Amino acid sequence: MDEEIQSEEDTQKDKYLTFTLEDELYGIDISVVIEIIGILPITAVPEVPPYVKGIINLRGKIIPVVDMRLRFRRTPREYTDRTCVIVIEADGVLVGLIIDGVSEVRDIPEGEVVPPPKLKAAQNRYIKGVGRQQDGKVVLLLDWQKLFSSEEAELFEAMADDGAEDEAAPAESAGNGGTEK
Amino acid sequence: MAEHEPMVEVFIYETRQFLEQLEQMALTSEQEGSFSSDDVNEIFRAMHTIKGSAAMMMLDEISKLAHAVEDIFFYIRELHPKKVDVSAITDIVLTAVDFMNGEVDKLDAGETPDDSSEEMRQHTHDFLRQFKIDNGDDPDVDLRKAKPSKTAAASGAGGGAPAAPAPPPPEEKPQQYFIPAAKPEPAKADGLHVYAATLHFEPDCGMEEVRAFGVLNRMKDVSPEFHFLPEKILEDPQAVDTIKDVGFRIWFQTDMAADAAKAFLEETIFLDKLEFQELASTAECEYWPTPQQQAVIEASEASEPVVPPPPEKKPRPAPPKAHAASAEHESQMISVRVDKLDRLMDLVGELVIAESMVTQNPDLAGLELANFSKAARQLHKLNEELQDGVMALRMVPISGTFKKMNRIVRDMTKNLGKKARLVLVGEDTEVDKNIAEHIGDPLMHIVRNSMDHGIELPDERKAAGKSEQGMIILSAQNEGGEVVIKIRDDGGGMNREKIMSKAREKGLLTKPEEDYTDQEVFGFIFAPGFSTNDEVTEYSGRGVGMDVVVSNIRGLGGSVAVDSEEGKGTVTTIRIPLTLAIVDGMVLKVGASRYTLPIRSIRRSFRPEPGQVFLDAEGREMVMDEGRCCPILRLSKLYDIEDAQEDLTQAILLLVEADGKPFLLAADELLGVQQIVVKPVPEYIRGMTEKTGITGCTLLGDGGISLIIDPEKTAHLIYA
Repeated sequence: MDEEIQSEEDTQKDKYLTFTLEDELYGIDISVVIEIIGILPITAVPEVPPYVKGIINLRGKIIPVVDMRLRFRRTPREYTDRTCVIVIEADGVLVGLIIDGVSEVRDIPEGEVVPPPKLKAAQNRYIKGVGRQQDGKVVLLLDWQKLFSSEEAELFEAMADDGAEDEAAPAESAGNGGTEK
Repeated sequence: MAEHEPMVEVFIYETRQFLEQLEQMALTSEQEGSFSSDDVNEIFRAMHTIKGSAAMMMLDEISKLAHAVEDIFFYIRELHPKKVDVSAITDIVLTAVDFMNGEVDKLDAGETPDDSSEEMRQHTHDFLRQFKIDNGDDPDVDLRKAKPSKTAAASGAGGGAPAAPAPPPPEEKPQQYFIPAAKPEPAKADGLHVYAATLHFEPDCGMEEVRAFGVLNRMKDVSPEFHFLPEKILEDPQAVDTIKDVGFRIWFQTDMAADAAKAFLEETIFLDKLEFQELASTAECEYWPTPQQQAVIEASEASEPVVPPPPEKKPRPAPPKAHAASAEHESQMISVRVDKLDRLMDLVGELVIAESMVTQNPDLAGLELANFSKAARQLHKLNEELQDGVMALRMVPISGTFKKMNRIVRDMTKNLGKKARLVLVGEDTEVDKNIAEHIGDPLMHIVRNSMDHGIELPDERKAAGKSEQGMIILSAQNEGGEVVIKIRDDGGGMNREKIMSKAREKGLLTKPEEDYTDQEVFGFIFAPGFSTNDEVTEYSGRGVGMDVVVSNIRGLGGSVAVDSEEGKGTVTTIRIPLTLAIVDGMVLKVGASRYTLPIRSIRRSFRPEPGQVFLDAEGREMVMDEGRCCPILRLSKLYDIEDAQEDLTQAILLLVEADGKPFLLAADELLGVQQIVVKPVPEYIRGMTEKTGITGCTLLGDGGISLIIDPEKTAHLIYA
């Protein structure tokens, strides 16, 4: 059975589901993606950061949804027919990502990925690399482990103090590296 | 071992069952004042099995302790001593059970059971020695050595009867047994004896191949060379059937004498029958491959397992009736993991919602669909039956929890010098498994309290004209959708004045003293840190305990009340809803959001008259209700909801009482009462919503989601 999992992981290696957010193209590991759905009625939840839009009912499962535009501090946009929710399972936690639209599944070999520049701007923390494409496009690869690990949920309270979190980030990524399969 | 391989799981399960059985048997025997021969046999057998399986799991401390306790019962069984201190023996059994329970719990939690039972064993040995001397027997005679033939014959004659197989030699000092026993035997050429044996396991013990493997494991220690059929017990799937049909056959060389070797094999757990025979040499063995043959067998990995020749002996006698009956009984029971039941319960909950999504679909509005309605009604009926059926699966009799109280009453009567007995009424009442598990702690505290504060010392009871022996009645019954559990004692009851003055001292009084009803006064005993005992004893006086009772029972969605009459006794009544998964909730609308409030905490709802709402010095809105100031909590403000009703005279106020604290929730509209299936808040946002008074969510009939408001948590938001 282990072999099966192994081979499944192999076929999913370096495959990314790409989606658009404003003018950029983002990518997320295909292995964590559960499904893609249209926008569903969202129930607001009090006392959560603004980017957590609320919870949705996906066939009886209750899943929190995060507006990725707000998450990355872009200008919010009205949801349309094209708006999609990518449901991912990150470390056993189900989360829906609200994005502008889904593009396609792309192969981005490791050699084509360059690390993001170490800028002071906070949001690059959640990009684990930038993939170059033959057509000249650039895909920003999301570090879903940092984005949606339960640690991140705990950290959000301390987020007011950005400096403190910057220091916490490397330690956090080291911790996550260990759990990676 | 945290993974719980099947073997570990079986061990934990079996051992726990035996331990529970042991505890109950010991307590019953103590009550009766003697050990019936059935009890002795059963306890012996349980200890024996635990010993065997613990040894197989390499849990030596458990195994040795079980052995020490088993010795006592062996002595009782064999020699029927006249003077039996039932109570002291019960103590020993219970201490041993506690120890083993602790170790098994560790194993279950994935830890290593590592406590030493040395002291208990020593105590047990000393006790047995004294016990023998008291009965005029020589304490140094090892019964097992003295009469091996008798016990072997007894167990042989018993066949598959529940009687335990012949007792094994003491494992902790094998050299005292094996080596001296071997010496007087005429030595063979190479000092080794050759034996043939066929082991038949009990028909319903399960995992025959593993049991056989256990034998081989032990065999390694005593035999330089041995062979067995079927050859590949673990690899060959047919091995189990072969062992079941013709037994597990083994040929071995050892330096043990025949009796010792036989006893050694008889130690095997779940052994039903042993055919044992000494052979002159290895040449007589039916199956004794030469090294070359063996190499061939080992080399051919895929080779067919060696099929043992059919046994020459007459077919094994059919298992005795008792066994057939128990096997039949077992086949009607099936143990299921709780998480599977939970999943099923979830599914049924979703089905109920899905059904209403279909039958109340907005697309159907205004259509006359006679056939559809008929089919929908049918579906609804079936769904309801399904829901009841699934709920019934989770129900267990409360007797298990009740019986645990026996132990507490017993221990406390001993330590406090009181006399009391526990009477169980309605212990067959079924409750949700979850409730049965969580009610244990609160019950324990209440029973302790009754024993400590309620039941008086025998002298006092006599003086008061009561029988010396106090009585605690534990009863359970179903009332509507609730289970009502009552703990009634015939002790001294509670003194209203004493509690009142203590409450005054603690500053718990919030209204004039004469306004308090008896119920309210007695309710003070549930306040944290409240104790009328000035002395802290082993059992009570610290004031923790009763408040734990309240919070545990609230956690189950239930309530507690006490009533007492001085000199007559006290009754504590616990009410708990039958199931936790589905509760009745009131659905409220605030702005565009819908919230659900458990109906049990809603006292009433009303629309305030103009002028009824007033502001306190800090501008907080209040309403006077029955002489109490109730703060108003606007959900729209608390949860930052837009478009909510601003004018309270147009809104609805719900009077909610939680933890004895009243407050009013302002909602725009009541949407009605609904049975809701509670679902946890998704993990990702659970941490964030912890401080909001929201405890879960539920799906509404139209597929929407409603958040569930926890009255207790919300009360804590307003009240300090």
